[in-house]
Amino acid sequence: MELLDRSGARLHTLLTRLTLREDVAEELMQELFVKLSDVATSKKVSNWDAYAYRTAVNLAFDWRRRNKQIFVPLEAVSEPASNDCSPLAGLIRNEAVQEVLIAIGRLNSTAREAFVMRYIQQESYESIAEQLEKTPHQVRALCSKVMNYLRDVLGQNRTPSAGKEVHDVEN
Amino acid sequence: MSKISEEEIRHHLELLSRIQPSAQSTDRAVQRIRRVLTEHKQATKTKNISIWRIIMKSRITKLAVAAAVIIVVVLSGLPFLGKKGSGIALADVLQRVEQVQAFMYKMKTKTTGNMQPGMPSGPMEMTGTVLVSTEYGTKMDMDMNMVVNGTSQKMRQIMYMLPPEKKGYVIMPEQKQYMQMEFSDDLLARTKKQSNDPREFLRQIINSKYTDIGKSVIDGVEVEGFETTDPACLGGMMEDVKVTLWVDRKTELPVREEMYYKMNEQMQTEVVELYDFQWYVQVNADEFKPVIPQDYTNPLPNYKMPTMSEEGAIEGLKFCNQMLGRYPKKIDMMNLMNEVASEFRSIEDSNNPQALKLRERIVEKLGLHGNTKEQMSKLSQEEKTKKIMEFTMEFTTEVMRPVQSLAMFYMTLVQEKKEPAYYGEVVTPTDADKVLLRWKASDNEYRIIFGDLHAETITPEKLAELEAALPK
Repeated sequence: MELLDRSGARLHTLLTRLTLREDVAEELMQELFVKLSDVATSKKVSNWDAYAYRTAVNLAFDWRRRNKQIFVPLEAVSEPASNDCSPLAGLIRNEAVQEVLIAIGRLNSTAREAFVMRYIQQESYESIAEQLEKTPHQVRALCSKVMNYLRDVLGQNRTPSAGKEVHDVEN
Repeated sequence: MSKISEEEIRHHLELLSRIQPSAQSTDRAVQRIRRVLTEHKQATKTKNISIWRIIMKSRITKLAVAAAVIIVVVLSGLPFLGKKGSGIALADVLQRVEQVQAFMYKMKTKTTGNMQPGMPSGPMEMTGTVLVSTEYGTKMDMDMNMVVNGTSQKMRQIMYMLPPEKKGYVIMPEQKQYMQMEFSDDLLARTKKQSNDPREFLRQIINSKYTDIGKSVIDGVEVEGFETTDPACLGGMMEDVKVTLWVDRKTELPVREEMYYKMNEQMQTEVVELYDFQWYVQVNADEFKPVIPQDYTNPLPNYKMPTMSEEGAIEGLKFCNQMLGRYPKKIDMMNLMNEVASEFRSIEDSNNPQALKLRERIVEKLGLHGNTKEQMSKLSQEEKTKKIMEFTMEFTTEVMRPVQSLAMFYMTLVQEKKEPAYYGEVVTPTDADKVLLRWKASDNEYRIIFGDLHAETITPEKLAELEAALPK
C-alpha cells in the first residue's frame, strides 16, 4: 500500500504510455500490484520502486505481445483519451508510434528498461543508473545503442517482427 | 511500412512521454488495487489455499497422480504401437505368438528420476502379473512402490482392459475405490494392441533395425537374442533406447524381453522386463470379470478416457492456453505434463484467473467451503485420505484429461509417421494464419491447426509457404 501511495500514479502513467490504453493500464496496474503483493511474502527485494517499475514494463510489453494487433480500432478503446488535448487517441492510430513501441518491445529487458526510463519517462541517466545498478556512462551507452538499433530497424523497409526475437544491444 | 528517421523516432518518443492518463483513470486504478489487495490478502489467509497446500503436498496425492498418469499411458497402449514388419526369423516368432489364445507373464518396471514436477522423486518400481486373452482382454495385477519424500509408499492396482465391453477398470483395494473407463472406438482400436504386450514388443523390434546377438541360456533354456537400439522402435520419442528379446530356440516363443530407455530430462530411465512367460494357458470368462466389493466407491462415475482425435487436441491446446496464457512449448507427453504440472504446482502463486477458477472449482467439488484447513483438521485420517483421493480424481479429470488428449494425439501422429510438426514456441493464439500443428492427412494433403485453433486441409505447396513464413 505504501508503494501504491508513493508510486501508483507514476506506474499508471508508465503503463498508459506503453499500452496507449487507459483501460488496459488499469487492468495491468491491478495485475502488477497483486504480483508485487505475492512477491512480498516470498522474496527479499532491495529496491521496491525499481522492481515495480521493471515488472510494469514487462507486463506492458507482454500485453503488447499477446495483443499483437498493431492498430487498435478507436471504438474498441473504452476510454481512449484523458482529455481532448491528449495525444493518446492520435497515437493509437499513429502507425509509426506503434512501430517504435513494437521495436522497443523486442529489446532485451535491461536495454528496454533503460530506454523506456530515459526516453518515455524522461528520467536522468543518474537516476536510471541507480535503479539498474549500473554507471551513468553505461546507461548512456546502452541508450545510444538502442537508438542506433531503432534507427536501423525502423529506417529500413523491414518489419521488426521479421527480425530476431531478442536484440542483445546491451552487449 | 514507412521508413522512420532518428529525428522522427525521437519525436514519437517525445509524444509518448507527454501522455498523461486522466485523473479519474488513475484514481479508479488505485482504488481498485486497494480493494483487490485487501480481498486478495484475506483470501490467501483463509480460504482454499490451505486445502490446496495440504493436498498438493500429500504423499497420497503424489502417489495417486503418478498412478493416474501411468494408468493412462499404460492403458492407451502407447508408446508400444506398431505395424507388422518383414523380418524373417522374428516374423516366424511373431506368427507363432499370434496363434496363442491366452498367455501369462510377469512384468517389472523401474523408473528413476521425476516423472513430472511434484511427483515422486525417488525410484518407482512396479511389479505385476499379466494375463492376456485374445478373446476376453487383459488383466494386470500390479504393486507399485515409490519413494516419496524419502519414505516408501505402496499401492496395489488391479487393472482390467475389456475390449468386448469397450471398458476398462482400475481397482485400488487399499483405498476401497475403483475407476471405470469407457473407451472410444478409436482408443479401443489402439488399446487392443495393449501396452507392454510382448506381441507389440516383438513387432517393434521387427520394424526396426535389429541384430542377432547370439545364443545364451536363461533358466536352463537355450535362447537366441535379438537387440535393437533404433529409437524408431519406440516411435522415435525416447532416447538411449535398447530393446532385447530372448527367444526359446526350441519352441520359438519369447522367454524374456527387456527394454531400457530415457523418457525426458527428469525421468532419467525406465527399465521394463517381461519374464516368466507361460504360453497356451487355459482361461475362462470369469477371470476377466472385475471383482468390485460393494463397499468400494467410484469417485469419478463419469470418467472418460482422453480422446485421441483432432477435436481432443484442439480442446487440449485451448485448455493449455487458458492455464499457461500461451501454447505449450512442446506437446510430447512428458514435456507437456511437466509444463502443465509446473503451473499447477505454483498455483498458489498464480494470478492466472483461469487457473484460480479451476482451483476453486475443484475445491468446491470436494464440498469444502470457508475455512478448509479447519475442516480438514476435523476429519479422521481415513476421511482425510478419502478427500485427497477425491481431489486426485477431480484433478485427473479436469487437468490431466485435456492435456493427455493433446499429447496422445500427437504421439499417434508420430507413431503413424504422419510427419507431425508443432510450433508452440513461436505461434500464439492470435496468429490465425500461422501453423501451430500440422500432420500429413494423405499423399497430397496436410491437416493444419492454426494459431487461433481453426483447422484446415491444405496442399504441401501451401504448407511450405506457411512454414516459411513462421518466425524463426
